[in-house]
Amino acid sequence: MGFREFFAVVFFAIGMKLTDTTPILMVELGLNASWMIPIVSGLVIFLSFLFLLSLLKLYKTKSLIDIIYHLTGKFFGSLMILLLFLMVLEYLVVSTRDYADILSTLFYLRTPLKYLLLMLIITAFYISHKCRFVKHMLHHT
Amino acid sequence: MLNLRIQIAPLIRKHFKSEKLVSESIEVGEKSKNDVYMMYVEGITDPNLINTVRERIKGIKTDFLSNVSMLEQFIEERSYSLISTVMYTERPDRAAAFLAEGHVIFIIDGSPGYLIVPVTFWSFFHAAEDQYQRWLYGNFIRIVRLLAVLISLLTPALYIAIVNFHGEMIPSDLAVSIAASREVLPFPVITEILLMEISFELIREAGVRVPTTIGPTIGIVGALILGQAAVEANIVSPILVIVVAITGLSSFAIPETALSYTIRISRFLLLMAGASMGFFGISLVLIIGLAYILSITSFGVPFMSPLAPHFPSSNDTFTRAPTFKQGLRPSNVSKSDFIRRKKPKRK
Repeated sequence: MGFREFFAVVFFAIGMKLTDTTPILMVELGLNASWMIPIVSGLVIFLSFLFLLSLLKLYKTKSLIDIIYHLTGKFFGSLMILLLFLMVLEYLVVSTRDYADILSTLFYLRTPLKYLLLMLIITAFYISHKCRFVKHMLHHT
Repeated sequence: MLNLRIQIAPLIRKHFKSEKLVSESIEVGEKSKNDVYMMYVEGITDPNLINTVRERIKGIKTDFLSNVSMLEQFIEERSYSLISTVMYTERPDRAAAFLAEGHVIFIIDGSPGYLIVPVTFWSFFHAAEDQYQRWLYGNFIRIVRLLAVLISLLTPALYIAIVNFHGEMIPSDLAVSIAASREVLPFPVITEILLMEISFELIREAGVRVPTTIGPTIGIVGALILGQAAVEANIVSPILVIVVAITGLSSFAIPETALSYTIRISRFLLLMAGASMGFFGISLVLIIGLAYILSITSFGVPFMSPLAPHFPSSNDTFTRAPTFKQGLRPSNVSKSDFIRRKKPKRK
C-alpha cells in the first residue's frame, strides 16, 4: 500500500470521526477550559497514531494482526484482537444507526428506518466484498 | 478477400517505424481458418501480458471468426459487465499511439478496425484530438467532456430526486414553477421521464438505421415536433424536455461508443435509484459503481489506473501535461520500461 492509499484511508477515518462528534456537547462540559479539548484529544490521537505507524514500519511485511500475535503471544494476542474487533464493531453499529437516523429525520420522514439501514448495509457489504480484489491489485504497485 | 499485408498492417508501420514492432499471426477458427495478427513492441510491452493474450487467442473455440468486433467478445473478461475492457478503433494513428505505450493490438484480415488490449477508463475517455490540440485547448475539451459525462449520467436522476424528495433544495421560485407546470399533468414524474428517455433512445436508434438522406428529418420530427407536441398535449412538463434534451446532447459528446453505452445504461439505473430513494439512492448507486470500476481489471491492468491505484505515469488522466513533459509511459501497462526520456528540458 502506497502513501496515497494510506492517506486516503486515514483521512477518511479522521474526517468521519471529526464530522460525527458534536462539539457543542463538549463545550457544555468543558466550559471555560473548552480550548484545551481539541489540543489534548489531538495529542492523544496523534501520538498513538505515530506509535502505530512506527510499529508498522518496523514490521514491513506483516499486517497488524500478525504483529499483535507476534508481540503478545497466542492468548493475549487473541484477547487484544477480540477487543479491537469489538471496538470496531461497536463503532460500525452505532455509526450506521446514526446515519440512518440522520437520513430519516432530515429527508425521509415516511420511510421505515429499517429500510434505510438495510440499504446502507447492503452497499457497505458490496464495497467491502469488492475490496478483496482491490487489495490484490495494490500488491502489484 | 483483402490481403492484410497490403491493407491495414502497413498503416501501422507507417505510423510506427521500428524493427522492434513484432507482428505474430495466430490461426483461429475450426471451419474457416482466419489469421489473427497480434502486434506489439518488443521491450515496451509486458512479456506476461503478451503470453496471457496469446493464450487467450489460442483458446478461442469457434467455427468462424470474421472480424475484430467478434474477437473482442471472445477475449473480453466480463461478458455480462456494463463496462467494456477491450477497445475497438478504426484510426491507425490511435492504434499506433497505444502500441507505443505498451498495449497489444489485433488485426484480422479484411476487418477495418484495430482491437486494443489492455485498456483503462482513460482510453475510453480520451480522444485523439486531445493530444493533437495545444495543451490549453486539449484540456478545455477534456473538461467539457467530463462535464458531458456527468450531465448525461446524472441529470434525469437528480431531477426526479429533487422533484420527488428534495423540493427544498432548489430556489423556491424554481420549485414553484416546476410545481405549476406539473399541476396539469396526469402522470407521475417517473412515467414522464421514462416516456421521454425511451423516445429519445428510439429517435437515436432510428437515426442510425434510417437512410442518411432523411436522417436529419428524423431528428427534427422526432425531437422537435414530438417534444413540442408532448408538452402542448400536457403529457410532459417543459422543464423535463430541457432535462432530456441536455442529457441527450451530452451523451453525444462522449467520443467512444463503449463508454457512451455504459453511461446511457447506467443513467437508467441511477434514474430508478433517484425515483425510489432520492439523493440517498443516487449516492448509493454511485458509490457501488465507483467501487465496481475500481475493482475490475483489463488483462491484469486495474481499470482506473494510473490514477487509482497510483502508478508512475505522465498523469494523462482527466487533464494532460504539455507534450514535452510527458516523459513517462503509463507504467500500469508497460511495466518493465516506462521511462521514455529523462527529465525533459526545453531548448
